[in-house]
This record gives sequence, C-alpha cells and structure tokens, in this order.
Amino acid sequence: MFDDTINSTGDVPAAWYRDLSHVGYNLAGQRLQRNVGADALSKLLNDVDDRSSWRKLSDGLTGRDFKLSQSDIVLLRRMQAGRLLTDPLAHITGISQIMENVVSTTEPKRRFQPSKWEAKSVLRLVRALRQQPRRNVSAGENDIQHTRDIWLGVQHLVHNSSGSVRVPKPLPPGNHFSFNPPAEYVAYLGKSSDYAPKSLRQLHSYENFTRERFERCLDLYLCPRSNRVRVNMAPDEILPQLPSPKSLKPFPEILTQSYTISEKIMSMSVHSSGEWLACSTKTAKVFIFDIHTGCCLQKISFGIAPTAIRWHPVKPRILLLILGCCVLVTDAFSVFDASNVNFMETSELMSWIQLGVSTFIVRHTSIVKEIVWHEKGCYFATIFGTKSGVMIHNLDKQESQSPFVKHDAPILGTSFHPTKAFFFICSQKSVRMYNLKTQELEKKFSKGTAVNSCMCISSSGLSLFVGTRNGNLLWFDIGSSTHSKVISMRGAAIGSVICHEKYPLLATVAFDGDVNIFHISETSDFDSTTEPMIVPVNTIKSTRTEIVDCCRIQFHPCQPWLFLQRGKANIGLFSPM
Amino acid sequence: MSNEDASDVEIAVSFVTRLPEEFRVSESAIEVPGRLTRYGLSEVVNHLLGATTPTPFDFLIDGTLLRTSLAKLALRLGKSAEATLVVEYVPALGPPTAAETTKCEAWVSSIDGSWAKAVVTGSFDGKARLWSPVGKLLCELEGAEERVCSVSLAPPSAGADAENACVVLAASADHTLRSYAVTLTGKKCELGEQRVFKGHEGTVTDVASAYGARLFASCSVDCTARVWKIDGGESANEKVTKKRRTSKKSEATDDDAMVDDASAKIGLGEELVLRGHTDQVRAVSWESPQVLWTGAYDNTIRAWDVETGEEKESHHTNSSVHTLDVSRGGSRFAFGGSDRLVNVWDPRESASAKACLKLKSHEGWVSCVRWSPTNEHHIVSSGYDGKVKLWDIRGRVPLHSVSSHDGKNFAVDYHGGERLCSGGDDGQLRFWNVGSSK
Repeated sequence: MFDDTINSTGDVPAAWYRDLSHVGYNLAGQRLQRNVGADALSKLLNDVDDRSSWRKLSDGLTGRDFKLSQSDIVLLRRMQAGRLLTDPLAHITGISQIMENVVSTTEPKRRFQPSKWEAKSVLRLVRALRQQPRRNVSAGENDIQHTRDIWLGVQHLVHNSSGSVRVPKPLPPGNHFSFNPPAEYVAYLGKSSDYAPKSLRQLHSYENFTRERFERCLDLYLCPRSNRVRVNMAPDEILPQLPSPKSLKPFPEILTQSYTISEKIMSMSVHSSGEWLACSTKTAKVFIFDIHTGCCLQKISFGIAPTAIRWHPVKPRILLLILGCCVLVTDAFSVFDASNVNFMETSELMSWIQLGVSTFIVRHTSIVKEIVWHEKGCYFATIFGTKSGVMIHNLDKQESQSPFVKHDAPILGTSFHPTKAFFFICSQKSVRMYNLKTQELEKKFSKGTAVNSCMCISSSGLSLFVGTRNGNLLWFDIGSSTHSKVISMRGAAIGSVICHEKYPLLATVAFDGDVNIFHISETSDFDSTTEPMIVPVNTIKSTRTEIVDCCRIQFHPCQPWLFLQRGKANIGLFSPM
Repeated sequence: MSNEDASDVEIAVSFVTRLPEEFRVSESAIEVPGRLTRYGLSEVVNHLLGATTPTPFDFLIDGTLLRTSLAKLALRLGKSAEATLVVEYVPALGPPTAAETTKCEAWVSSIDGSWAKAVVTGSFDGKARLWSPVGKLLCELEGAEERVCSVSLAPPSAGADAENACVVLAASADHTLRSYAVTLTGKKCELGEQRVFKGHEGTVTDVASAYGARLFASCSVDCTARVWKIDGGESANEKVTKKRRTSKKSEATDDDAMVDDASAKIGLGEELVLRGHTDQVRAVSWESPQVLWTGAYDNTIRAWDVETGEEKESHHTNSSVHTLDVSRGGSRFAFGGSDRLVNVWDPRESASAKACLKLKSHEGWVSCVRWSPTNEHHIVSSGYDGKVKLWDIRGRVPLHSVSSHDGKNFAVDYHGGERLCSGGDDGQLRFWNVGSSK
C-alpha cells in the first residue's frame, strides 16, 4: 500500500505551484492541499512556548509539517561532522574494558593453536557432505539459477598489498581438453560413442595449442610485476618558475655601435677602464678604438699577425700580444719599431728580452696559442706548443715558471681564480683545478661524456661554466665539485662562454652564430637557501654573412654592453634598450 | 565613444595668446570641428586675423602641445565636450633649413656656440677651431697632443674687451685642459695667453665654464670631476720647455719620467677634485656658480657643492649618462645616453631622476643635448643616428628632425636663438637656421 501523501508531480520546480492552493497530486490523482499554517505572529507565540520548535520543518513537496526525531538529529550531526552515519563501535559495550584485558593479561596458549572445535565442526561438515546422496542435476540448476559470475569477461589484474601484480590465471581447461569426455559431450560433438582414446598419444593435437602456449608465455613475460605509480603532471609544472626577462634588465639587447676595419679580425680585447677596444687583424696590424665615439685612435703594424691581444687588467696602456713564438708586452700608444725582431725564432728556455722602457718579449719554445691575465695584472699564463705546455709568467720580476706537468690532451683554455690562488686548466674531458701555492691538483670537474670546448669562471669565483661540443652549458660549483647543473641549448657547439665582471650576466656564443645571454644568480655562503638560478634573457641571432668567426665576444668591464664580432671585419656593440 | 565619433564632435574653442596686439583674435568661443589638427586650427586663427600671409601657429591646451587632433587631445586630457576649451597659440617653430656647410679636417667632437662673434669646435686632430658665424675659419688653436674631446667658452679676464674677447677651454685626451685667450678684431683673430691645466689621470671628456664666476669644471675617464680657476694652471710657454726636458729624459728610464710627472702635478694644487663616481664621468654642467652637476657611466647624475667639494645629491638614471645640460634657470635637467632617450627631469615634479619625461625618437646613443638660450621649453639633441632633433618639452614627439650627418653626430649647439650648428664624424660643420617663421 502506497502512502497517499507522496507527491507525484515529479521533477518539477515547486515554484510552479506557488500561486495555487495545492502543491501537487498524490498517486491516486487527488490534490495535495497546501498546509495553510497560522499567521506569523501566532507561529512565533507557539514557537516561544514550544521548546522543540526548532525541530519543526515544512516539507515543500507535500506541504506538510514534520518534526525531526532525536535519531534524525544525531544522524544530521554525524553527517555535518563528516563521520560515519552509524557508530561502528556502538554495539560493543564496555570496549575500554576489553582493551584493558587485551593489554594487561598474557596471551593464552589457545590463541596460538588451531581451534579444536572448528576442526571438529569442519570434520562434521565433510562427513555430512560425503554421506549426502548425489543431487539431481535439474534440481541443482534450479538452485543456481539466480547466481551468476559478475567477473565474467573482465580481464583484471589483482594487486596485492605490496603493489606487485599476480600473473593472470590461464583459462581452466574445458571439455575439449578432456581425455575422457563425458558421454553427453561426445554426443554433442557428434562423435561416435566408441570414441574413447585410451592414451594421450591417441588424442588429436589441438590446433591452437602452440599459439595459446605462446600467448601464455607472452602474458607471463609482459606482465608488469610491480604497480607503477603514474604521475600526471602538466609540462608547465615540471619547468622551474623563472622570472620574466623584463624584470632582470639591464642586459644587451640592440646593436648601437659598430667598429669596422677593412681587414679580417683575429682577436679583440676591451680595456678594463672601458675606454679602448683593441683588435688585431690578419694583416699584422693592431687597431685601437675609442669605444665611446668609435674613433680609431691608433694603428700599429707588426711583421707578423698577432693571434691574440689582451689589455693589461690594471695598468692603463699596457698591451699583451702573441706574435708567433713570442709574447710581446708593450705600451699601446707609443710607437715601437718591431721590424728587426724575428718573432718566429724559438729558444730552448723561456727568455725575457727587454726592448724598451716597458716593452718586453717573452720567447717561448714553440708557437704560443693563448694568453690569460691574472686579475691583479702581476701574472699571465700562456699556452704554447703542440704538446700544450702551460707557463705562468711574472711581469714584475720578469720570471717564468712551468708548475704543471705537460699534458697529452690538448689544452683548450686556462684561467686564474679571481680571488684565490687557484689555476684552472680546461681540456676536452675535464677541467682541472690546481692550487698554485702547493702546486697540486685540487679538484677535477667533469660531467659524464661531455666534450668540453671552453670555460669561464664567474667574477665572484663561486661558479665555473663550461661549454660543450654538443651545445650544452655545464655549471659547476667550485666550492663543492659534486654540485653541477646542465643547461641544454638547442644548437651548435658552444664556441665561447664569458661572464660579466660587475653585472650577473653570462653570454655564450655557438658556432652557428647565436649568442645567448643569461642572467645568473649564484648562492653565496651567507644565503644558501636560495637556489642558484640561470635565466635566459636574450638571444642575438647572426645573419649568414656574419657567422664567419663570430665566436669572439666580450663584455664591457663596467656597462651591460656586449662586444660581438659580426662578420669578418666588424665588431658590434650591443647595449640595453 | 569611438574615435570616429570623437572626431565628429564640434568643440567650442577660445583662442588666447601672449603675442603682441597684431596677432590677437577675439577670445569669444567659436565652434570648430574636433578633427582639426594643428594645421587646421592655424588656418582658423589666420582667417580670424585676416592676414594676407598666413603664419603657422602651434597650439597648447593646459600646457600640452597639440600634435594629434583637437578631439583626441581633449579626450586624453579629460576635457568635457560641453565646456569651452581654452587654446593658447604660439608661433610655430619652422623646420631647420640648412645654411652654411664647412669642411673641418677631422671629426668634430664638440661645439660651443654661446659667443655671438664666433663658434668654437673641438676636433679629433687635437685642434680647437674658431669659426665666424657664417662658417669661415678664423683660427686654429693647437697644443693638445691628442684629440680634443670637448670645448667651452668662458668670459675673458678682467680688463679685456668683453665684446670681442673670449677664453676657449679645450679638454683633451692627453689628460690636460688648455685655455686660450682669444681676441677678435674685425676678421683677424689674435691669440693671447695659453694656459695648461694638468691633474686628470685619464682622457678629459667634458669641460664647462660657470656663468658669472671665473671657474670651470672638467670631468674625466678617471672617475673624477675637477673644478679649476680660469686664471690658474700654468703658462703653456713654461710647459713647452718642460716638455722638451722630459722628452730628452724619456729615453733614460721610466722612473725619471714618473718623477717628472709627479713634480708637474705638485706645482698645481689649485683645482678641486670631486670624487664619488664609480665609472667614467662623461658630462658636467653648472646649475649656479656654487653647484655643479655631473653625469657618468655609473648611471647616476650628481650635484656637487663647489665651495666645499662635497657631494650634495646623487640620482640614479636608467642608463649611462653621456651628456647633461642644466637649463638656464637651473631648475630642469636634460640628459641622454645609451638608452637612446632624451630625458628631461624636473626635480619639482618627481624626486627620482628615473621617473622623468622620456623623449623617444633617436635611433642611436644620444650624444649631445642643449637647452635653447631663448625659449625655456626648447631642447636640441643630436644622436649617433646622425639626426638633429628639436624638441618642445610640452609635447612628446620632436618638433623637427633633420638628418644632419652621414655618420654619427657628436655635437650640436645653439648659436644665438635662431641658429644651430652641428658636427659629426663626417668632418663637417653645418649651420642651420631655425626660428619662428613669421
């Protein structure tokens, strides 16, 4: 019997019945009258008298009032608190006492033994089953009519608690596997009743046997043996949060000046005061430009093309040049007659020859490749010869020393540490850091199979940057050789990497002519909580005609300006917008 | 309201001016279409004046120069369309017309045109040159061993003819400054006393003489600015003998030369050294005979008290400062540099020099900015893009822009109120006629 108060209007807004006297129809089709209650004043008076008035509610569907019972209130409170609707421990009385017993008394022996009474009852059941007469088949079918295998057809893998996955079970053998099939099955197959092979050899081979065994093997082989936790992440979440380049200004952006020579440039150097730019050409000349105006101030000719040129880092006018087997130290603005000196002549030992007031020649045993100044300007290091010897020269005392064993691997570059007595030698496989005081190998920086091409040390002396042949930039923490980062750049091998002395800027130039400019923030000893960060801020692309030998870059010593060789005979100055 | 609607609006305009009586029109409001630009309004005013030869005018609304249509500017300034718009008109500055061009032998690094009788230029061949106002070479002032980076004109010493005499100050890359007393009689130029000021330890990049005091200031790559007395220094004749002596000694040893240099320095002691900048100082300008302003590569402009030698103020700028000029009243600063902007900073409007009026038009470094001697709102600037631009600081776009040189343009200055001269790396000195075309 249905309740005659059920409203049969269905999923219809109650607002449709707002102006009517009834709220809907019951199942019998009779109108359900709206409960026209008393007016608000008498309602209020009733509520004041009735202490349980807050439990009264009005059912909008049937238009009747009803009252929440005590159990309803309990249920609602539980729902609000987010607990189970029924208390699972409510039926256990005196649970605390039980817990006490568990804890305080020793465990009885019977807890650890199989139950005797259970064994007895199982035995009784087994006997009963055995004594039970065989059931009628049809009766059995009736019994199992309403049960069905809900997992039928579901190929599922069952995970156990440890996360490993069980091997899927093979299908149970069917009648066709039977050695001795029942008579009705033989009849069903349409075979004669004398079909009764006496041995397995007489059975026909099952046509899909090999395939099924193979698939079973594949199942076993390819089944995942552990539960892999798959992490769903958007690519943006994996990338580190980098500040926008606009907030990291200033950095070089646009070409604002260019210094043009009619000859092919071999090397360039910016003076530490930021006033002069010197560059040497293949036609054995050295040009000195005023950076501010772009005016060529000085032109010096030599008998042999200077392969490298470096300003003295402190003294204003001293210039260091590589001329064949010699290193020439000279005053850039005083004319020096070098016609009677043979720069290609070698000497067995290092020899210092004084040619003028502040003009020296350091003659090496073979052709000099590279020179590097120490920050303070007292020392400079040279790489020379095919066997890659490294020499350190003292300019004040005019002495040379070779503190390091000659290396078989070609040396790509050397560098002094800006603050401490360390010396870095970069070869293709690793960068070695030597202590100049003890003349011992201090550390070795290498990363996997990376092939180095160039290196530089940040002006703070905390980081070592190494450019590699596959276009990556390696960042090592000099303090701890284990900390390193790889900055991958899509592009050609890195030709040169440089750091700015004052601004946190780093620039790399690749052999395809792209200059990448980065903002670096290193961690200092005082503030080790912030992660070191490197943010790409700008890329300067070179046109095809400019790519020739464009690996010569240098930062202005004080301004965020970048000097970049563009084309054979042109140096461009890039400055912020 | 869309732009098209705004242009179709009729705006009630009342024209006012500070010009003399013959240029005045009735101040009663008249309705003009909102799409009218400077040219259209100029036609209206000329029609009201009934002039036979039209005079071009520029129009100002609340101190902002009209460069778009009337309706757009009114909209930008938040003016109501119903109220009468008060428009002030001033005679427009005509475009600079090329006058004389003279070939200077070397690149022109700096120009000073503050003397009516002549223009002085500094060149990269180490000479300062005096030119007559029509571009005739009057004389060459030699002496500097390297290029002259900057020149400035100072009034002559007491007793000389103030009209026809002047002192030319030249800053050179050989770390010295030189002063040349020059007297012009007719077309002849007489050279007077020549003095040398030593003390800087690097290229001297700029020099400026103070108005109304016998002082001048210089700045250098060695991160200092120095203030000198014009009558100080040492006479160039003595210097020549000293130089002869040092050149004899220079073959001996380096140490002797050092001692000689040191003794030469001790002999001075008259200059005031202003230390504080951390990079090359590139520009000096006087606010008053007591206060000097310097601009440097370290992105600051600083004020110095010349009497005590102390730094008074230091303001950060957005980029390195290559040129700086203080307006005649001393209240406004124009500076430019590697950010390719002409910055106009009024300390009364904003405390930070970073938040100043940024005039953007040059496509290269700004090499020189100068305030007009006659109009307090006008600036001329030159840039490495070879352009000379005239600005009215009440507007955001240049009044006029002329391509003055093929390469970089290093210097520009007013010569009188209606002439400009500019020089650059093509070795030419060009004169331009500007002025309100009437």
